[in-house]
Amino acid sequence: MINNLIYMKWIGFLSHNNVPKAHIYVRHKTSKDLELSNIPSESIQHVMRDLALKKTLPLGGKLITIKENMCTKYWTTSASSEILHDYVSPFEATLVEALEKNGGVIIGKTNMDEFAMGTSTHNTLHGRTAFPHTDNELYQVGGSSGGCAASVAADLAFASIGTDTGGSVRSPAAYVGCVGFKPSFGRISRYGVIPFAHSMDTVGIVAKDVGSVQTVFDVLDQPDSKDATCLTIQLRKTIDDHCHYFKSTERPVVVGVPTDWNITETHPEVLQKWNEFLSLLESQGCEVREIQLPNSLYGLSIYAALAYAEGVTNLARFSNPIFGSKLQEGEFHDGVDPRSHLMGLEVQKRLLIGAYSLSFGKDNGINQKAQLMRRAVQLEFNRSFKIPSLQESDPSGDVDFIVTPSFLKPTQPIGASSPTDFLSDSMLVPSSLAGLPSISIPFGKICGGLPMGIQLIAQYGDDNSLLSFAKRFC
Amino acid sequence: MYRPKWLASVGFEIHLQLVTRKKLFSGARRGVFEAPNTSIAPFDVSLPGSMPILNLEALNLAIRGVLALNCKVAPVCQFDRKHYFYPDLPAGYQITQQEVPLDTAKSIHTDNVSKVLLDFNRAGSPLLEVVTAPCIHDEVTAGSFLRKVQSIMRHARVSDAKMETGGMRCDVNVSIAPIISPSSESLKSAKVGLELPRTELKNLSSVRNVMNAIRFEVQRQISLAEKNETWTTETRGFDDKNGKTFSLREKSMSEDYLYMPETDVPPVTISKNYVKQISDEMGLLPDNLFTMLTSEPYFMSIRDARILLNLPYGYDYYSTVRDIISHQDGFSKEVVDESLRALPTWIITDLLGKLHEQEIEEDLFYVPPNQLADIVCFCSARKISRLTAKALINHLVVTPSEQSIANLIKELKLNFIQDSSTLDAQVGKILEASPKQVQEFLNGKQSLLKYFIGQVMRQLRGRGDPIEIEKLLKQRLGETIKK
Repeated sequence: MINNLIYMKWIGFLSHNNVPKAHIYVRHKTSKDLELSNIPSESIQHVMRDLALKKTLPLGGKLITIKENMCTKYWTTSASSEILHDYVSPFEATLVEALEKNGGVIIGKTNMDEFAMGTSTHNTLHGRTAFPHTDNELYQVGGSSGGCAASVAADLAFASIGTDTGGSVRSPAAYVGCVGFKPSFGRISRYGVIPFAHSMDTVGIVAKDVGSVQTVFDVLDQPDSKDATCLTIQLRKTIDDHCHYFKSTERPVVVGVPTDWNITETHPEVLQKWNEFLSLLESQGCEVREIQLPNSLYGLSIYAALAYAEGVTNLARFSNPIFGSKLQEGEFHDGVDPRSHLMGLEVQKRLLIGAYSLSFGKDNGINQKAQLMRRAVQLEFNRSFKIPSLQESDPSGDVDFIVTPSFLKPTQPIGASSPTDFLSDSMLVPSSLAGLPSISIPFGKICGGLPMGIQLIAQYGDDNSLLSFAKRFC
Repeated sequence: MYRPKWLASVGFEIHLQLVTRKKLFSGARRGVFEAPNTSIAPFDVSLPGSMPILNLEALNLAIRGVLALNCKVAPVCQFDRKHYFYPDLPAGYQITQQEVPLDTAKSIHTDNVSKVLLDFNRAGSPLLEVVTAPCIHDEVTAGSFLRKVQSIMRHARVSDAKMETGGMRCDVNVSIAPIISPSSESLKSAKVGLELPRTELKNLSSVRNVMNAIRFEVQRQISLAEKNETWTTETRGFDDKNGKTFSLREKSMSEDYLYMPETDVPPVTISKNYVKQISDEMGLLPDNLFTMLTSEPYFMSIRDARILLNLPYGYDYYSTVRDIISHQDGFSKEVVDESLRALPTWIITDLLGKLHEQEIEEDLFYVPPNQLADIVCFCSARKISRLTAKALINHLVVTPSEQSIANLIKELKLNFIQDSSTLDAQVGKILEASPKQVQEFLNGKQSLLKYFIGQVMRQLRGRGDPIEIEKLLKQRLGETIKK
């Protein structure tokens, strides 16, 4: 039965005036293109195995897609890079095993920016993922988990698993009008996830509504002895008890608004929606307070200095000739590294910046300064939240959740660009730097029907009450 | 012409492989002599998505090593990534420690300021790195220092420290400096002029080679300096065939390793209690053992104790044999005491001597403890002669056997001949065959008695009881005198 459902979905997707609703790269074993005739039955069989059993398990046989940087044994894991175009991992990511074991049906892997470095989900290996806002125009889906967001928006999957390092799950989810959740750093195991910036990479979940996100989160929010940064059982209990201790049902929910994040580049309709959401909160009995988070305004620079440096170290292994295709005769040109073309320009740019950031030594350079600023960002968040930090003895504040827009302006057509594009993740990066749980929920439409996203941020470890709160709105 | 005196300074970077069951971060077994690529895990070959998990056994051994060297353990153990590209480094970085805030060490032999770093992930096996200041000034001290480190590491069961098999690797930094105030008596207070270029010596395969390399290199630098020639800061190897150092490569001008913290391995807090636990469980170290062995009830000679403790598992072997002898049934207390007293000599002179003669490794276990125990006890109980005992040891070193000593004696026909009539017959033969010596003996040359005993023993191929033979000889000669 389900077999037919998938076929129908796919057929439906393709036959809408013969124009694809969205170009989505869904990988199956032998072919790149999402055309029914190209999906081998063996692939379908593999995906649909044990379906009856799975329907009795927590994920109930729901269809899931996962980002192309998560190791699977059945499909190649390329991180959308030429250098890994045929790499098949001998081991599976812990999260993949968890999804399967709990009844999830992984139908394929989704397109991304190469090595998760980018905000457009566009690369030479798999092409571009786009979002059909109108019948005539394809819009940018954002990135780097653009394929994840698109597969959910196109109803191909119940949920999609991506990675969020500086906004890469929340941003595309916001652009296409879905929910994008980035948990606290360390909640979901990263074993088997190809790293970009390993002190910020967080496995995230995209779905249509918060309840669906919660269903998947419950399955993935588990300890893992293979990942030393994944919270242990004891730590989870400590954190849960700690957060619970500071909850109070008597007083109303206090929401913090960082008004200093309202920079001039914020689109007026985004600002309007932000205010609208705050009014909605007040009408529900929440107390809305103004807070200041000035260090976070440096977020993008801090992020570039730190994340790109971590990218350098994590990609160092790919200079090993076991990765990437063999050079052909005569391919070597004097003075030009013959393998450079195996990585895209965006990746090359970021690696150069990252190496520069590291090059003045551990104690002196830009990297060191950025580390200190990162701590300053964490400090100002701690000062705002009611729940005090478990790691640092910073003073605490009064706020339960922080509310911001998910972007400065909504998505734009493919090919369009503006000078402020580099600011696209500015609202999302600070909570990445501090490892805080944050979620983007759709909130109406702006600018002629484009999805609007609102971001909610909670204190470290307070994931479940963040999800509960978000459920009120989506 | 003023010829300055030169002060050579030698510093070490020693890498000791820890004898853990598994590798440091990957969970694969630490295969030492296994077929290539059979003892690896995804992390060892840096497969994308693999992650390091710290092996606590390695941490424990490292702490033991630190304590054994009289250093203090830092309260937090954290790691960094050190980046460089080399074929056997698939990740493009090594998980190591850039610095460890440890206190200075108390001296081992000299005022040795040591830093102990955990330098990991070379081929995945855990290494302990010991760095010394350049406070050693001659190759003999250098050799003693290295042997002492080996001894300590073996007794602490941290590393086998065998240079030949990679258990210990030693990089040596050698430099010279002119002593400006030639009147100073001690090197420590010598005023030293400008430091000249330093040489790093690598790929040294034994302690002996380290010593020879240092000697040659110091001399090379001094010769150049005295001719007013200069040399470069570089890395050199040592050719043990011609005894010379040679250039390996220019020492790279501060290669940028792009150090960054390794956040995938969260820092480990090491409590004082934890360290104390490890300290309490540590066995005795060479210095304590030396004191113990040279006192009651062992009363080993200083020389014997030193040699024994320098052998790999020398103390282990000795104490095992001692235990077996002490618990022997069937021997009187006098025999047991005599055996224990004679044991060090048997081990160090006879067993070790034979190992050296055969030019095989200094592994006392070539003669298993129970076999040596039997040999020594049989000898002390005068069931076999000293010569026979020695012959048995020699035989076992060359031809190991699992047989009991009793069986071996029968098989090799080495039974002690104590039967008076047999001995007497031999004595008679010898005396008849040496009338001249008999006459000299009767004329007062008492020392010939030893000669006669030796002759009889030779006839008996060492299986006679010399005390019995002496008795019989004296009897016969006495009778002759009477005649």
